[in-house]
Amino acid sequence: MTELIAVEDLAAGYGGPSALEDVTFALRRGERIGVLGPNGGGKSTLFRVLLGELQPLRGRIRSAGGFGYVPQTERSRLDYPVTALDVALMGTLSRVPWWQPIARAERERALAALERVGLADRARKQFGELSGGQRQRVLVARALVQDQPVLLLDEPFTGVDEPSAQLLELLLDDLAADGRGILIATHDVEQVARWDEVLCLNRRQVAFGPPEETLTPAVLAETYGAEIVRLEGVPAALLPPHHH
Amino acid sequence: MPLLLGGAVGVLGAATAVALAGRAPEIGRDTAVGIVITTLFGLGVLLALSQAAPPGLGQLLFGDLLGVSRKDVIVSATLAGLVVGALALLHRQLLVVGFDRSTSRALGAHPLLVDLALLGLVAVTVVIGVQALGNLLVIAIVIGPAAIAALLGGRLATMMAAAAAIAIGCALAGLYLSYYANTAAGASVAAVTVGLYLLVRLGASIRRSPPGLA
Ligand SMILES: Nc1ncnc2c1ncn2[C@@H]1O[C@H](COP(=O)(O)OP(=O)(O)OP(=O)(O)O)[C@@H](O)[C@H]1O
Ligand SMILES: [Mg+2]
Repeated sequence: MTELIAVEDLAAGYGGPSALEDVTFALRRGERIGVLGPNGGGKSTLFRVLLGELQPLRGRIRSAGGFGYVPQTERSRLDYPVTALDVALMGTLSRVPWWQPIARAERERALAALERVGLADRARKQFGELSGGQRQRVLVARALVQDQPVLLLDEPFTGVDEPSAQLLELLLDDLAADGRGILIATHDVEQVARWDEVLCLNRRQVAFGPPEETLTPAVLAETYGAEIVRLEGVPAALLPPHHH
Repeated sequence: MPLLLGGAVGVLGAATAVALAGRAPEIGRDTAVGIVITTLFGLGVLLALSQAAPPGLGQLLFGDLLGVSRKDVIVSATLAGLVVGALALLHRQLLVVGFDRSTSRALGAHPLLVDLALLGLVAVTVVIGVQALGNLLVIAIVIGPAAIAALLGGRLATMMAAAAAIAIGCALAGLYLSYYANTAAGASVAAVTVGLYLLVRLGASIRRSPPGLA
C-alpha cells in the first residue's frame, strides 16, 4: 500500500473538551505534509495520538509501520552526561533490541546522521553544551537513526538558524524522495506552501489538501482566528483571484 | 543469612512501593521515597525495640565491616557481578529514559520496566552494602562515589566506572584510616567518602569561578 498513515474521523483530548476533532487525512509515500495551526491548535496532540501515547476518543488510525519522532521543545535534561553521538544513538532503540550492544555499523550510521544535519564536527561534544538550534538538529539526527517509514517532526525549525533551516529542509526533501512520509508541524505558512499537502488544525480539522487549495485567506482565517490573520507570508499566486 | 534474605525481600518490597506510589500523579517521586522510607523506618524501630527482635538486628543497623566472612564476600561479589551485568544489559534503555522520559516510549524504551529494574538493582546494591556498613552508613558508599563521579563529568558509562573505582578507593582508604587512627571501620569509610566529595566539590567550584572571584 502506498498509504503510510490513514486517519479517519479522529478525535482526541485530555479529559476535558476534546483538543482535536474531525481529523481525516492520509499520508502517502514520498509526501511531506505541513501541519499548521495556532498555539493549542492540536498539532502535538495529533502526534501524540499517532505515536500511541494518547488514546483517541473516536476514529480510526491505520499505519504501515513505526515512526521516527522529533519532539517539540526538548524536555531533555541539559546536565545529562551524554554526547551528541550518544543522543543520536538513542534512535537505535526502535530497531536494535535493547539488550544488544551497539554495533560499529550503528555508530557509523549515527555519525552519518549527524553529518546530514551538519554536525559531524560536534559528535563528541556534550549535548548540554551545544546551542539550542544545534540540540534541535541532534534530535533530528536521532530520528534519522530511527530509520522508520514515517517521520513526525514537531516544529523542528524552532530556534534553528537560516542556513541550518535550509539544510534541514533539503534533508526533508531527500527523505521524501526516498519514499518516506513526513509530517511536519510548523508556524511558517511560506514554508508549508513548498510541501505536498497541508493539514490545518484549530481544535478540529479546518482543511486538508494541496497548498494551492488550502492556503486561502478563508482557511487561514479560520485556522488562526480572524483577528490575527497575516497573509504577507503567503505567495500571492496562492490567493484566489477575486481577493486581489 | 535469613536476616539478609528478609532484608532483601523488605527492600525489594519498598522499591516496588516507591515505584508504584511515584506513578500516582499527585505524589511526586521524591515524596514517594520519603513516605515509604519513613514508614518502614518507623516499623523497623518498633520491631527492633520489641522483646522478640532477632539477634543480629543491631548488626543490620550498623554493619560490621571487619566481621564479614569469606562466604559473605563470595555472596556479595556474585550479587555485585549480577548488578553490573544487568546494568550493561539495561544501559541503552537507562540512557534514553533518563534523558527524556516523556519521549522515551516513542523511541522504543519501556520506562516502567526501567524504573522497576533500577529500583531493584539499587535494592540489591543496598543489601550488599548493608552487611559491611549497616543500614545507616550504606547511603554514604552508595551515593557518595556516584556524586563525586558526576562532579568530574564525562559520559554516563565512564561516570559509572569512575564511581565504582572511587568507591573501592574510598573503602581501602577508610580501612587504613581506621587502622592507624583507631576509629570504627564503617564510619571511617563513610567519612573518607564524604570528605572526598567535599574536596572535589570545592575544587570544581574554584575551577569554574573566574579568577579573582574564587
Ligand atoms: N498534557 C495535557 N493535559 C491537558 N491538556 C493538554 C495537554 N497537552 C495539551 N493540552 C491541551 O490540548 C490543546 C492542544 O495542545 P497541543 O499541544 O496539541 O497544541 P499545539 O498545536 O501543539 O500548540 P503549539 O503550537 O503551542 O505547540 C491545548 O488546549 C492544550 O492546552
Ligand atoms: Mg505543539
